[in-house]
Amino acid sequence: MAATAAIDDEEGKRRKAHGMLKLYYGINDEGKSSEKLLDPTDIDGVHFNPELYLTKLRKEKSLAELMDIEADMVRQIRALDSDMQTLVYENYNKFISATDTIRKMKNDFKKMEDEMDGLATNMAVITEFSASISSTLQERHQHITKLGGVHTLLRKLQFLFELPARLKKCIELGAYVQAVSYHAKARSVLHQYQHMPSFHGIQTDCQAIMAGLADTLRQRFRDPSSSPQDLSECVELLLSLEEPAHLLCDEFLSHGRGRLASHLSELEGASDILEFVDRGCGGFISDACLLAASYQSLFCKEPGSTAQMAEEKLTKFLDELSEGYFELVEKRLREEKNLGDNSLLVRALDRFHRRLQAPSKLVPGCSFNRRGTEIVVRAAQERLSQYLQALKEFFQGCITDVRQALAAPRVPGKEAPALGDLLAVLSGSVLNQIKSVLASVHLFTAKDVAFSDKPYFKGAFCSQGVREGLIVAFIKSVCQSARQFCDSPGEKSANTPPMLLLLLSRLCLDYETSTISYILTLTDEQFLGQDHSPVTPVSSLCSLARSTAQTLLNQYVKSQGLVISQMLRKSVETRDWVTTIEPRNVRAVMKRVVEDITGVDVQVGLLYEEGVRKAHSSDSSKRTFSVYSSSRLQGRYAQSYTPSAPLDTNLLSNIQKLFSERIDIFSTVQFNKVSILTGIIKISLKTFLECVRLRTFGRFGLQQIQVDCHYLQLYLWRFVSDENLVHCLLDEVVGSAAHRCLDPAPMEQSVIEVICERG
Amino acid sequence: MEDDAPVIYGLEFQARALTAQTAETDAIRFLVGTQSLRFDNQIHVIDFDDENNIINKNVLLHHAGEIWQICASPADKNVLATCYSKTSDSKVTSCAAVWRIPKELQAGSHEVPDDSSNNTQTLELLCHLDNDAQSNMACVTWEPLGNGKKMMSLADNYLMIWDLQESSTTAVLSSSATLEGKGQLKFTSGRWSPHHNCTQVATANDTAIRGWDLRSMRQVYCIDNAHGQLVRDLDFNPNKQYYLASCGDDCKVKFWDTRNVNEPVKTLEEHSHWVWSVRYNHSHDQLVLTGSSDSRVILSNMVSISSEPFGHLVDDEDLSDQEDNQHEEK
Repeated sequence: MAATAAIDDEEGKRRKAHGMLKLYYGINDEGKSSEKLLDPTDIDGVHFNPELYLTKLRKEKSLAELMDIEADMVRQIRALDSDMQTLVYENYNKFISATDTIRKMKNDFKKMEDEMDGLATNMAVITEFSASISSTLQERHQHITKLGGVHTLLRKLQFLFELPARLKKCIELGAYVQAVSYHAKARSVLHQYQHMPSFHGIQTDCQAIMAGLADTLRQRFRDPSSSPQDLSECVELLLSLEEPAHLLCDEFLSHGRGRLASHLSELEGASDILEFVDRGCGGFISDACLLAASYQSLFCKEPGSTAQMAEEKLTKFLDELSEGYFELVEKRLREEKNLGDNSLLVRALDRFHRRLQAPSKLVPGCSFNRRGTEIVVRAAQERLSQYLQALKEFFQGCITDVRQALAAPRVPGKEAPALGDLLAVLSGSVLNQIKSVLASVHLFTAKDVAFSDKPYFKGAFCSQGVREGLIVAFIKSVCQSARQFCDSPGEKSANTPPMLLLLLSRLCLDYETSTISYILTLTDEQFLGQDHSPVTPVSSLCSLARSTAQTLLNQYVKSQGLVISQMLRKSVETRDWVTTIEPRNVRAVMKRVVEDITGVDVQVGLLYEEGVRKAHSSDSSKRTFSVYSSSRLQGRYAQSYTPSAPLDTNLLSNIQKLFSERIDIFSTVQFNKVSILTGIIKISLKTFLECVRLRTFGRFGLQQIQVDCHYLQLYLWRFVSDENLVHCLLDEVVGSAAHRCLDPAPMEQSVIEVICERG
Repeated sequence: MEDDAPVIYGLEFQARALTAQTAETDAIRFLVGTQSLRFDNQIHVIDFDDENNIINKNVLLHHAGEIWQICASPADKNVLATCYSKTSDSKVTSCAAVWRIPKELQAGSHEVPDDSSNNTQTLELLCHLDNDAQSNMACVTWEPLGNGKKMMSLADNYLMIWDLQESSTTAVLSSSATLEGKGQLKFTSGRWSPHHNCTQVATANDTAIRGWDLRSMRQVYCIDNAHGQLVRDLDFNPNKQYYLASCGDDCKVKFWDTRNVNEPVKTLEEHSHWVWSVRYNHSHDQLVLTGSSDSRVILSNMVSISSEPFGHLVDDEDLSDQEDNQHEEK
C-alpha cells in the first residue's frame, strides 16, 4: 500500500511538471469542457486517476482490447519520450549562447567607464575658462547695449525731423498710403512731446501737410470719375486720418448714388424685358453690390456704434435707390403685355429675383428680397389677369367667328351650317387655348425657377391665382357672356341669331357634363397648391353652367317661337276674315310655318338628342280633326242659340278646360329635341289662338282656319312630345274661330282633308 | 276675408271690357261689357255690397255692337263710354260712343232682382265720338278727376281730344295729334295721367310707349322697346307722379319713371303668357293687378315703389274690393 501511495505521489509530481510544461508551451486545453477535465478516466485529463482507469479498463474491455490499448500506450509513451529529449536539447543550446553574450557585455562596459572619466575632467576645464571670459567681457557688454539704445532713439528722432520732408515727398510721388502710415507712426509721439518747441514745430508742419493730403484725398473722393477701388483706398486713408466716419459714409454713398442713378437712366432704353432685366442686373444691381461690399469692408469692419450707424445709413441708402429701380422695373413689367411668350417674362423675373439674392444677403437689413418677391408676385398676378382678359377676348373672338359662320350667306338648297362642327371647333379651340394658357402660367411654378418655392407660388398662386382667378373666373365669364345674349339691352334679342343661342346652350351643357371637371382636374394636377383656402367647388360651377344652358335654351325657344308667332300673327291680323273667299288652299304662311319648324327640328337635331315622346296613336294625323269637327263643333253650333243657351256650351268647354291639363306656354324646356320643339310649337299655337280671338270671321274665314289647323295638325304632331297638346291647342283655335264667327258653318271634314292633301 | 265666401258673378257672354265706376265713391260698382257677335250685347252694372257680401246687378242692352273697351265718367256715375265694333255689310268697324244709364235704374233700384231678358233697359246714346277719317277706334278715356267734359280717343295713328258740350250730347274735336313714323303705326292703348293738371297722356303702339303733352299736343317722351313685344296696357300710379306701369306680350309687367326712360324701375315676370291689362289700386298704389292669357290674375304688392312709406302694412279690407276683378279671367 505504501508503495502504491509513493507511486501515486510520484505520479502526481510528474503530472504537475507536465502541467507546467504545458503552460510553458502555451498548449491550451480550454477547448475541452471542464467536465472532461475532471474525468478521472481521461488519460490526458488533469484529474487522471490511473487506478480508476485501470479498474475501468479491466472491467470493460476484453483481453484483446486490453492488449491493443497496452500496445498503443507503449507507443505513445515512446513518442512522448523522444519529444521531450528534443526539447531539452534545443533549450540547452539557447541557454549556452545567452551566457556567451552576457560575458561579452561585461568586457565592453569596463572600457566605456574609463572614457567617461576622461570626459568629466575635460568639461571641468571648459567651465573654468568660460567663467573667466565672461567676467572680463561684462563691462564692455553693458556699454554696447546703452549705445544701441541711443542709436535707435537718434534714428527715431531723425525720422521725426525728416518727417515733414518725407511726407511731402510721398505726397509728391503720390504714395499716399506710405505718407499716411508714416504720419500714423509719428502722430502719437508728436502728440506726447508737443510741449517741446522743436517737436511742436514738426507737429504743426505734419498737420499742415496731412491736412493738404486730406484735401487732395477728399477731392479724389468726390471726383465722379474715380473707380470704386480708388474710392475705397481714399476712404481707408481718410479714415486713418481720423476723418469723421459718418461724413465719409455720406460722401461715399452720395458718390455711389450718382453712378447708380446713371445706371437707372440708362435702363429706360432697353427694348425687351429680358434685356431690360439683364441690364438692370448687370448695371444697377451688380454696382450696388459692389458699392455695398466695399462700403461694408470700409465702414463696418469692427463692431461698434460706427459700424451700426454705417450699416443703417447703407440700408437707408439702398432702400431709397432700389425704390427707384423697383419702380422702373414695375413700370416696365406693366408695359409687358405681349402674351405670346410667357417664358421670356418668367425668365426675366427669375433672373431679376435671383440677382436680388446677392444684395439682400450682403445687406440683410434692406428690403431687396421682400420688394423683389412682391414685384414678382405682382407681375405674376398681373400676368394672370392679362391671361384671363386674353382668354375672355379669345372666347369673344370665337363667338364672333361663330356668328360670322352662322351669318354667312348660305348657298340656296344647301343644308344649314354644320352646327355640330361649329360647336366642336368652338369648344376645341377654347379648350386648347385654356391648355396653352395653363402651360404658359405653369412656367411660374417650374422647378428651375428660383421664386417658385416661395410660399405664394406654392399656395395662393396655384389655388387663388390660377384656379380661382384664371380658370374659375374664365368659366364664369363664359357663362356670363353667354347669358348676355339672353337679356341684351333694348329687349330685342333679335340681333342674336337663334342658332348662336342654341350652340352656346349646348356648349354650356357640355361644360356642365364634362368640360368643367376636366379643366379643373387638369388645373389641379398641374398646380398642386399646398394652400387650403376655400376654392369654388366643381359642383357650383356646373350648376352655373347648367342654369346658363337652360336660360339660353329657353331664350332660343322663345325667340324661335317668336319668329313663328310673328308670322302667324301677321297672317291673322292683316287679313279681312269676314269677306274672305271660300278656302281652296292651305294658306302659304302655314306651309312656311311647317317648313320653319322642320328647319328648327333639323337645326336642333344637330346638337341635341331626340328625347322621349308619348306613344302615338296609330292614326295620329287623322284622329283629332275628326273629333272636333264632327262631334264637338257640330254639337255646339248645330243647335240654334237663345240668349240663355250659350251658357251651356260655354260651360261645356269651360268644364273641359278645367279637366284638361294646364299648359304653361313659356315654360322651361328640357335638353332634348322633342322638348325644345314642343316649346316652340306651344308658343306659336298659343299666339295663333290669341290672335284668332281678337278677330271676327265670316263663314269662309272659319273654314280657312279649319283648313289651316288641319294642315298644321297633319305636320306638327311628329315634332312634339305629346300630340294631344297640338291637338288641344288647334282645337281651341278652331273653337275660338267658330265662336268669333258671324255665320258659323263649318266645312266638311272630307273637303278639308282633300284640300290639305292637295297641299 | 277668410270667413267670407267668394262672390261669383256669371255672364252670359264672353267679355273683355271691365271698369270700376269712380264718380260715386261710396259704392263699389263695376261695369262689364260683353262681346257677342250674334246677340245683343249687354252692359252689366254690378254693385258689390261688402257689408252683406252680396252682389246686385243691372243689365243694360248695348245694341250697337260688341264692346272692346268701357270706361266710366269720373263726374257722373250714370255716364259711360264704350269702344265697340259693329258689323254691317260684312264689314267690321270700331266706334266709340258716350252713353247714359236710363233714369229708372239710376236710383239703384234693387226691386227688380229677377229681371228676365224681356224687361232689360237699353242705354241712352248721348253722342258718338266720330271722325270720318278713322274707323278703327282702339281706346277711349275720360279726363281723370275732371268734370266729365273731356275725353281722349285713339284710332289708328290719331290721338284726339274731345270736348263734350250741351250736357254731353255733342262731342267736338278740340285737338288732335298724329303719330308719324315708318310703316303703319297704330295706337293700341292709352291712359290719361291724373297728375300735372291732367295735361299728360301716355299711349302705346307696338313695343313703344309715348308720352304726350296735351297743351302743345307734342310728344314729350318715348320709351322705345318698352317691352320685347306688343305693349297691351298702361296705367299711371294714381298717387305718385311720373310712375307708370305697363304690360305686354313678353309676359312682363314693367314699372317706369317717365323722367328716366332708359330702363324700367322694376320688372315683374310672374305671368307665363301675354299680360293684357294692368291696373293700380286707386288708394293703395302698391297694389297692382294684372290679367294675362295664361288664365291668371295676379295681385302684386309693390311696396318698394309705391307712395306708401315703406313698412306700411296693407289691411285685409283693402284687398277685398279687388277680388271681384278676377272675373276678368278669360
